[in-house]
Amino acid sequence: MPRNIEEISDTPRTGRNNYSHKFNSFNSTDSGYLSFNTQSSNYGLSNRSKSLLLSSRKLPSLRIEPYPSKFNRKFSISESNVCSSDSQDHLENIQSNSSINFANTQVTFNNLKIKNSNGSYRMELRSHSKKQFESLTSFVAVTSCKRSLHDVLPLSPLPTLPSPPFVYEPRNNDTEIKLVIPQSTPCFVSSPKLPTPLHNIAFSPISYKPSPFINTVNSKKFSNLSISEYTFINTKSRPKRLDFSKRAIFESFQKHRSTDDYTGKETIDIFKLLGEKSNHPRIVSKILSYLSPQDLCSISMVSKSWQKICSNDSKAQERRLKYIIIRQCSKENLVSLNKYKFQEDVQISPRTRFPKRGFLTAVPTNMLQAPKIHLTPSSPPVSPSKVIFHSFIKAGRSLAPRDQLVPCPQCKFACRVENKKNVGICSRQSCPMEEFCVFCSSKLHVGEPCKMPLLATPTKRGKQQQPIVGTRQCKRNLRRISRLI
Amino acid sequence: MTNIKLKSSDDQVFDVDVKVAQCSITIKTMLEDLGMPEEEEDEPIPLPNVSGSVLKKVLEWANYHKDDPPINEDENPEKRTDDICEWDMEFLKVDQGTLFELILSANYLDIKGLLDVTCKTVANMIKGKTPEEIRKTFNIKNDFSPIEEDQVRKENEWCEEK
Repeated sequence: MPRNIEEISDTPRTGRNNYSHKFNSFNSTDSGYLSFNTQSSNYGLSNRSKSLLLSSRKLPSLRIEPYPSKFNRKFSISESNVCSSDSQDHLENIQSNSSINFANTQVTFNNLKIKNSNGSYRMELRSHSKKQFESLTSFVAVTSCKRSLHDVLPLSPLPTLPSPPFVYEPRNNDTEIKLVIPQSTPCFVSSPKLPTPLHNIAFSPISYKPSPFINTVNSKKFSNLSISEYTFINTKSRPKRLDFSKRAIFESFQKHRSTDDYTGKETIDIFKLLGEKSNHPRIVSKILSYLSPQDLCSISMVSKSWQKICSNDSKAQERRLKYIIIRQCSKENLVSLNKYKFQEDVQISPRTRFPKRGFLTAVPTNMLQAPKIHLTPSSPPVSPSKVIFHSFIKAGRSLAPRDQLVPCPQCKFACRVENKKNVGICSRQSCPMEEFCVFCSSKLHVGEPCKMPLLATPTKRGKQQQPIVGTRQCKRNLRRISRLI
Repeated sequence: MTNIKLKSSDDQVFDVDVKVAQCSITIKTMLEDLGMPEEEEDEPIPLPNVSGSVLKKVLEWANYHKDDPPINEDENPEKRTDDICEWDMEFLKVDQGTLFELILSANYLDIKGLLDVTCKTVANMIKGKTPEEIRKTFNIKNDFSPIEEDQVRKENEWCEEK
């Protein structure tokens, strides 16, 4: 059986050591093992207690240790040589309190054959608890003749000795199998010829520890393992420095990649992908921080998800709302300023004249419309000095948005100026000037330029900035203009 | 100068200068924490979130900008989007999908300069556009109902006029 030994022993030490230590174990002591002590008083094995340490583990090694013999031989078997499905069956055999016969030399464990030339080897396991493999304590009676033991644990310093590869693969990773054969215990299975030592197999759970040696064969096996097993093993092992060989782990990472590959797509809903699909608020707020409040308003009007993303970003939302409020406050002024630019000399309606003081700025529309009912009955008596004022109020009630009221150049009563039309219509029916040009206050002239008299003193209006509505300067100007008119 | 290997999600391995790779704060931190890989350790650093084509682009950018001074976060609160250099402009003339992947990769690898420049590019795509134009740019469907749209418009009413 030298071939078996060669297969079994994986370590370089095996080859290097001399014969008596040829089978020294390289394994650490904390690994799971299956050991049995044998005491045989017979023939060459007398006064020596032998223990076979069978290291049985999911992974790498199995060893048979003569303990505490001075020879201290250990046999190590790498799982890579013996991996087989048979092991499960053998395990079940042990669990079910069956006896294992190594009888007459043809024991096949995991595709390896033990050939004990003469002896028979009988092993009986009795489980105390059949359910729990961990708590299984079995007694194994080994009926071994001297020859068989001699074969199993060779004393003769022959370099090429057959080793019994007790390969034993437990289903449970956390199981330590200890086969202890104490000395001078009563026989369980009586052999007709030979005294039989008792073998006590103790199964006890141990925490799994990774093997300190993982040779290339094993690492290949690792890569063949499924991911779940693999991660389980590796979570308990200490990570090697910069060791990224755990391909399986990263393959599993890739499967969980949050987003698909979007390269090559011409257009994508970038905010939706960033904000909703992949949850990158940092990037979103970064992009939003580059945008003006006006753009933020536009963004929130694009689609529902964009609106949500925009409002979820507190900074952007704050900026946007602030901007809206500012715009709202200055809205009247803004519109009138635009109009002012457009119509230049148009007199500004009272509505737009006092926006900063809050006059007439926030008049709700229902208030503008409700008094219509009161328009039909005859107006209450008004003092003659306030007639013009009241005419403004009356006209103002029915004023359409963006229309203006200007005093009639003739009668000073309120005149309505429609939005973007430079035509004033006097509200007083008896007024001789029904329609007039708001620029030159003369009779309506369509398509003709205003016949404005040239002022003796040139105005600075063209040079200076547009006066802001409601300022003192503006009022002074207005007063001056009205005086001129 | 030592080189390190970076492996993309689709198993492409890139051999890059350490200085270039350290544009990425993620890689830099990793190298600082774990120590520089030794000569015999040829194990590439896996970047499972970055595909090969994108990683190539990122490394191209990093190679160009490897000598840039580090950007201080709050140095200039003024947010500008028109300070993208010519090379970056040309570099970022890509489709939106690639741009998006670049943003994600820059974020994952923590390359601030690249993240800034890509975000600015996106911001420039939005800037000064009406909602309808933005929708057209990114091919977004308007999923507001007419009532909702009216409400949204009212909410942002004052901002429409420019």
